[in-house]
Amino acid sequence: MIMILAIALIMTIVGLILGLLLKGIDRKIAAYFQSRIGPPLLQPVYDIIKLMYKQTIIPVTAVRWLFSSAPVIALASSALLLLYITIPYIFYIFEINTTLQGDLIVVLYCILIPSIAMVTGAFSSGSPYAAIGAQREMVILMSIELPIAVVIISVAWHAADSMADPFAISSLFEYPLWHNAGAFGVLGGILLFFAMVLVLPAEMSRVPFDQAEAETELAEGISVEYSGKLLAFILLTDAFKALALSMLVVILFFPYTLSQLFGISFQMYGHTLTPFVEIVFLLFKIIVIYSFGITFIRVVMARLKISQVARFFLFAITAISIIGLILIMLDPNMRII
Amino acid sequence: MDAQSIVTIIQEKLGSHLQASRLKVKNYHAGIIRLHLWISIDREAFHFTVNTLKSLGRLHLSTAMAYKEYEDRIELIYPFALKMDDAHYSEFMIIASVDIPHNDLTIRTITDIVPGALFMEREVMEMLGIVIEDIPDSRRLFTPSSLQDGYFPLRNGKNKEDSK
Amino acid sequence: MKSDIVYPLNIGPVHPAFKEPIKFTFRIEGEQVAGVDIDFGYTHRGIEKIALERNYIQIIYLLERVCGICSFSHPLAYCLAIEDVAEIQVPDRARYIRTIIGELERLHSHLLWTGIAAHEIGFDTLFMYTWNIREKVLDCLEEFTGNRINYGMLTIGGVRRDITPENSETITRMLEYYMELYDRASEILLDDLTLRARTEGIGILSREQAEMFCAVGPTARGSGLLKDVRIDYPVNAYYDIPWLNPISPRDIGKEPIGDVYDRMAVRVLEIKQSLNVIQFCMENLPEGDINSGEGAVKIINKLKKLEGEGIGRYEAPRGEVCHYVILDNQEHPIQLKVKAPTYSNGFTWIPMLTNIEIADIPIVIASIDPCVACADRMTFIRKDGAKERYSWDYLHQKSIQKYKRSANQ
Repeated sequence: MIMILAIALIMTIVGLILGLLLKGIDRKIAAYFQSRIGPPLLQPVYDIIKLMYKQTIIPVTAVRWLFSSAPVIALASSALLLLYITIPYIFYIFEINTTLQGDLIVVLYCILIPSIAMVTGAFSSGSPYAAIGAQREMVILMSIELPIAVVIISVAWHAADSMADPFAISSLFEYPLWHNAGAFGVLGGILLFFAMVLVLPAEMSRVPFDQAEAETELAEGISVEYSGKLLAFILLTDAFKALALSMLVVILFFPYTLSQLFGISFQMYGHTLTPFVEIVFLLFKIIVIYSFGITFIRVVMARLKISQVARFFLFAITAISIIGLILIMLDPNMRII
Repeated sequence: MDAQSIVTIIQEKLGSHLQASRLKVKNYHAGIIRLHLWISIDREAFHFTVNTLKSLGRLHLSTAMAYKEYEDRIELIYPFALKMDDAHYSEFMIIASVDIPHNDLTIRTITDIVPGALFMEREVMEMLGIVIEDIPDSRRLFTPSSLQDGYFPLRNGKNKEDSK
Repeated sequence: MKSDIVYPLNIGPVHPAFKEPIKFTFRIEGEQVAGVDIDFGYTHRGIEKIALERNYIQIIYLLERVCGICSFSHPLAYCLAIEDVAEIQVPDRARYIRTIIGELERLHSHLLWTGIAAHEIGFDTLFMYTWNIREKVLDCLEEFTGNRINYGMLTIGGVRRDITPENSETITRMLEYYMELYDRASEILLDDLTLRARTEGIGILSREQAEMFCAVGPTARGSGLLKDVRIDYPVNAYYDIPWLNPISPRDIGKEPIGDVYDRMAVRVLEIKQSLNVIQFCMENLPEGDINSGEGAVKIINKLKKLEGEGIGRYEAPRGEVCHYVILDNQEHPIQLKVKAPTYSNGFTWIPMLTNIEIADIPIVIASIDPCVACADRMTFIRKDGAKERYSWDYLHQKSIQKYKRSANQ
């Protein structure tokens, strides 16, 4: 128990730094595409440090307790999300046997909590900009909920024939989606991956789906009234979510480790270094996913309108993910109930 | 269309309402002319004049609120750009001026003919204190709401001292 | 997304969508705009009043400060007005140099607008690209006039600096650079899918409305109203150019409906037009004087003995600039009236902004290329200046009163 707590604590701190670094890398890559130099890699860290020193102002129109607790809830739940997804994978890499399996349905809920906390905080701030931002965030949340659920269900579906619990995160590593997929399965998997990658920027509130924050329209929308430490919490939430969501895509679609792929292992002075190399490989995968899912999309697109976004996710992306699900169900190599 | 025929048309249309006119023509090469026509109009006939000018072609209100202030009256200047045909370089300026006596600072709005004149008329109201009759929107445009009523920043001399 | 609840939404005076202070009060139904009210007057500097206390030469440099971008158009309109009163002939070479600088200014203004429009709809990459390529024309202007903006090139009766052979080489190189880039850039600007999705069919200003509200510049031309001071009214060297026509979206085979896309298309096409005009002027640059050769004192002395009224018009990048001066045997004019393009175009916001979504507000507002400082140039003389000056501490106190400090402070 104490070990779990210690691991959780270490991983929270490490995850925090890595999440901020991930945002730094994202900004560097975007700057490169826009032929700029860009901020230093550690700029998000500096931002957090600066905000910690700053005065926190709570507007008189706000519902005080709700306004100040919302970022804390968002931060805690996003940290929980990160740990919940990551710990089973870390145990898997280090080959530790554990009863901690993780549950995909819980992940589905955990993804929602930070956003809902932010929406609550925005509504309680009393600012019309925040209110509009919150309404938009709700619309986006509702329209991306179904695609995420369909993706998670389809990935769980193919693992249903194994001995393991299909909704356990740990069974994803043992039976990856592409494990014994036929042509239908591969095609379905690609569609699901495509849907998930497009859901990423919407979940992270990035261009073209950053309507809730829309700087030029709503002056940062849902976070407009936040300042100081509370704003720092929001930025940290964002960092955790960035890491956790890319991690989720990695374990849903590319859980393979180096040793699985190439059967290699690393030894030094008689100690095995394989798990550490695997972690570096994991980080590499996360950066690639994040760059493709968020950075590249945000540099080549303009912000859409909220009605366009709702249509896009409710019809196009939902349809794509459901087709993906049907293809996986049709694949004879995968199990059919 | 040459300068003289334009002036003739306008003189004919306005008839006795035209109090005075002054023409300034500059000739460029290839028959291109620049034409500035100053006309003075009776206040009562001003609305009719704008209506007449509008019926002649594409009427554009070019400048905001020019004025001259005298002892007994304010001369309000409306520079219009009028284009009567589609040829290039055929637009000319008609600078209409209206005398408004100090003891009766009112003039009828022209926003029903040229809706784009609203900003100018609002400015005239707040800056010079000339009351525009039937103006659709009589709020201030540039001056802040904290400015005291009856103080008109661009009035010269006597009136300004009165308000102090 | 229509709801029955109507609520007000203030945008401005200070808002990230605007680079200058202006206030819009919208009535919002759900995500739809039901009504709009505009409040000007946050950037009054009283330039017209200051001008009445300066001599004729000083006013030129004062008027460059009316607007940061149209810093050539305003003094040019003033010079034209003074030349109209005093009947001063401008030498041919000066007319051509004025045209070249005016077009260089239009070029950089339209590139600037493109960047801002991209930023307003969240397309930051395009914003960075256009501002990056805009540096080239600014460098060219800097080499030519000594400044990136506020060129100080004009004087009454001509210009102050001649185009040297080195300058013309720089301009030729700049033209080549842009000609090469233009096709690709216009393709991105006019065909990009997300750009089209965000600009087509919104902020519509019909031709009739544009004519009614006295719209000027690309705003009017985007609605199909062929209104261009350069072509309607003889100024500078434009009447020497036989092929010059007002731009309209018809030039790319599109019937103008007056939406944001049409206004953008007009600006993109005008970039090409400006390049061609500059090229024409460079090729046909006549030899001769660049001004009357009279010093500032001599010009002022001449104007001191004059009485009369003059009007100067010029097509600034954003639309018609019109200056009206009245001279009365004094060392300074007794009246100087400045009309900036936004003063005319401001009114067109009302039909454009009705029945659009909140998300469209910034791009529709930006689509007329507003220059609030220009429109707000009007005088306001504060009555009790000393009394209304707040100290920093007082303002700080005020702001603390308005917002409660949080518990942990």
